[in-house]
Amino acid sequence: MLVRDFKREFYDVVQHQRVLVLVAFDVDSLCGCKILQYLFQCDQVLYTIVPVTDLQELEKAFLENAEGIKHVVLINCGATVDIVDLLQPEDHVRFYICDSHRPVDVHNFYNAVQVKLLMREDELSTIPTYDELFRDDSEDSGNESEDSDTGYKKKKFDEESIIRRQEKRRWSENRVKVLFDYTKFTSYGTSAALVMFDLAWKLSKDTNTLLWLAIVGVTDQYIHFKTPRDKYMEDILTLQSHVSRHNQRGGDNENTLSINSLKISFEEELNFPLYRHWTLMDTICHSMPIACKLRLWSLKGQKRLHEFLAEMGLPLNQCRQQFGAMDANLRSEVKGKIQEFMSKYGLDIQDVILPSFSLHYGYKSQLCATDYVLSSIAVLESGDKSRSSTDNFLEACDILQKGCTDKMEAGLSAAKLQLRSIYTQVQSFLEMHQIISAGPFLYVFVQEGTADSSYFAHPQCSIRLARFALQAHCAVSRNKRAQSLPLVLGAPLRQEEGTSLVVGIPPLDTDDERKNFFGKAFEQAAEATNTTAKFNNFDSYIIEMKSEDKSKFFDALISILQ
Amino acid sequence: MAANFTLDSNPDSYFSLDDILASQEKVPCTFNTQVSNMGYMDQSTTDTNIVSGTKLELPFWLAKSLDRGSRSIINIDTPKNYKEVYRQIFTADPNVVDLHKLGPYFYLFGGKLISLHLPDNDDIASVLLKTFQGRFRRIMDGSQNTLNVDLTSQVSLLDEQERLLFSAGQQGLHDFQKWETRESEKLSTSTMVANHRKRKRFVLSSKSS
Amino acid sequence: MDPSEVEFLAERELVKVIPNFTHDKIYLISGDVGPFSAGLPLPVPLWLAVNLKQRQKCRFVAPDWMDIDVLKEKKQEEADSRFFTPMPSPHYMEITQLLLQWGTDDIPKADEIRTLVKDIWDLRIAKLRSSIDVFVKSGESHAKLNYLTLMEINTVRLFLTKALNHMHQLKSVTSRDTTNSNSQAF
Repeated sequence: MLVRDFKREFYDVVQHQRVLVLVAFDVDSLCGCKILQYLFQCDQVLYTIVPVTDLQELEKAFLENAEGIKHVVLINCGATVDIVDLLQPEDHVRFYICDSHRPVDVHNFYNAVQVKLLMREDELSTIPTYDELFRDDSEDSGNESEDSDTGYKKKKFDEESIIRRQEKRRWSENRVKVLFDYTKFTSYGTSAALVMFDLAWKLSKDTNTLLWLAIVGVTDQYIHFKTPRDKYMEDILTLQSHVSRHNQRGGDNENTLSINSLKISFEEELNFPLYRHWTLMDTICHSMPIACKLRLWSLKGQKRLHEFLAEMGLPLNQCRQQFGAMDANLRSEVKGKIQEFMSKYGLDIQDVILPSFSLHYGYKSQLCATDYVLSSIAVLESGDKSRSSTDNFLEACDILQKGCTDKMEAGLSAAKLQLRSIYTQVQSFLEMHQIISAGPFLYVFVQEGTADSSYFAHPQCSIRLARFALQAHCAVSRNKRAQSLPLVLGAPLRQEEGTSLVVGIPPLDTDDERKNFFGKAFEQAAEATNTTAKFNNFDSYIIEMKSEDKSKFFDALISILQ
Repeated sequence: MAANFTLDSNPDSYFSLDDILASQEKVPCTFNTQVSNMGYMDQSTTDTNIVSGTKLELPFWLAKSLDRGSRSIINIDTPKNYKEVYRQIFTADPNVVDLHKLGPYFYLFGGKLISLHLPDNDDIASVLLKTFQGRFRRIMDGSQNTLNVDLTSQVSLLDEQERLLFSAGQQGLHDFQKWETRESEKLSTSTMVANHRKRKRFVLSSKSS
Repeated sequence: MDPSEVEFLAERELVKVIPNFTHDKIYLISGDVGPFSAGLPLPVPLWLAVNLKQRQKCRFVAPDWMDIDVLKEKKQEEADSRFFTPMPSPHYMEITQLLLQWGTDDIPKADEIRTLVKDIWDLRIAKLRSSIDVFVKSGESHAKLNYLTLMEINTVRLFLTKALNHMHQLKSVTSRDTTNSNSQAF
């Protein structure tokens, strides 16, 4: 059931009770979780936070911690599955789901007692009506669905029952169709962090710190290609009004605010990853749109880049300096210069400029929202096998904490390594011509034993790799159809078990919608071939399967998508 | 810390390591009588006996027990570092002297010397106090003003007891600095608990093996 | 004694806060607090103020002395005087520290106040050091200092007690063993 008044129906209910919070592994959930944590701390609510990477862990975490708990909050997980069916909770347990994954499972939506959805109402308008899904058969004591037809009634061959049965069959057919249409595409709604921030706002406990977390959550969704640019801009506008509410003080006492307090400002940021902490050269190379448009992985591309820089009047030795150490005059001109010359190199304003926010705190250099996202995701999905995922989670939490500068620095360098490995991997895909067209889609595999393959065993990182690979492929491909082809990427997951992670991303030309049909397609392909794929991930377009089943599975996938 | 403190604060304690080390310092002595079979103590001769009039440097604890007033078998002389020449240097500017080089236990040993009733006892006593008073400001400022700076050159000039003082000053400064940067509010495992856990683990592992 | 222990003692000081909730009197072992009514300033112990602030339930009101002009004057007075001047609060340093840490946005001109308080602190510590030096040089066995605050004493406590102990030893060997003492000047 959808919660309309978050404060009354959710927050006031869970107060003075122990709450179990289950959090998915991405930056947005992390931010949402931190906001909720802060609220709980303010009101001294007892809570347990358990980070979970997939559905299996979700089940385990629930079993381990469910004792004596009446309220379970799920952040960015659980909306797309029938949570009551999955966890088999006791009757008094209530689930509060704050999840940006769409579509929401219909059972969650229509469960009025145990499941409460913390989501925006307008985003759930596509859900089929109750009558289309559930039917009260008077003889059937209100059992819900189509297969409740038991042998007894078959004997009644009177006309009425035949009509009823026909009608029922039509209804069931319609139900299947409606459900299929509803679940065909997976997409994302408003970020969990933003939803949580709205709650904090309604409780008038919103501070700059929380606002910043919401910003990071929204930015995370955009950076990981979860929301289209329109939605991002819309969220940014909402956030901007909060930002100006919090950060505007009357002109004359402008200086009264201490340097040690957080200040957030709206900015038209350069869309280069980590550029404030890197060299201009590196950051341009690792920026996806520019790297693809200039084809920087080739010699010619590098030449083009040099030309571009020369035209802007930026000396090479300056560009190889840390951005912060560049000549101050040049540094301040970079943004303007790039905008001035970009059209000549086929770059759009969207490629180089991202409206975003930046954070000032103390005397240290400012940080922007993307810095936060990249460094926390790099720590969250660190390839270091010696650390448990919970360690990573806590470490990433620390990065988002204000004042943890040393952790932030470590996160930034981890993020650089991650960006580098993605770039190198894409480069080797192209050089070895590993991106292959299977007809209705493209596919590519990260070879086992590749140096950085441990990075790509994580969902968010593999999404970014897949996206970069697809965009790079489209940039070099002579095939006009490349734009309209989706890409499936396989990466080794656990070598000892011989499993792979398979990710499907939609084609570039439908990019604006950010809708992914691979969830359903994978499901059907697995069914058709009887492969034991695991649909464990919270994103249904990311699955886990035995590497040896790959070819069988792909054959099925081709026939489905044709 | 508590145990440490009593040792530091009371150098007369029987168990004080500093006290033991300080009483090892050498004192120049002259033998008044012949001592049989002790010739090996004098490396410069091959005699079996120490002849009367031999000059030897003996450790303080030995000299002290041999010193028996007028009928003593030895005569104790003032050690070089506490003689008039050095006393004048100390009075001129105590701050430039490398006390560590002049005997790492300058004050402690000096205090012990006084118990020997040397002729220039009073001068030694007053010079000890004056030297400390003269050097005090420097130790205080040095230890309280500097954070994260290499202090070895400064500390190397200090006598062992002054060093303890210096580190106490540093401790105070560090504690305050930590409080000021709000580091003290972070919870950390106390050393006792950490040690206890280690010991527990040790017991467990030794039991199992 | 740890500075954090001194801070603990300082947390009993009363500061004014403006709560954003209404609540009856709270009866605590250390005394009664409240009643709280939203929007009306009332004095509460510092620890409670910090706790409420952390939970977004109140705003700090800067103490009267936590004001640029007052502090500037105080600083001047401290600089001009040879002796220690009385401080507006016996825990001025701790209160500043805590209030500014948690409520930078409630205290006007927080940065300047931080600097001024730190200046005053530095002045006083310098004064404390030179008076300790004079004290040690004079060889006296006691001295009286007015208006020192606990935190200030605490920073030199370890050092000073050790130094005086050392002095005492040096003196006691002198007085114990020089029986025919006539040259003893101190």
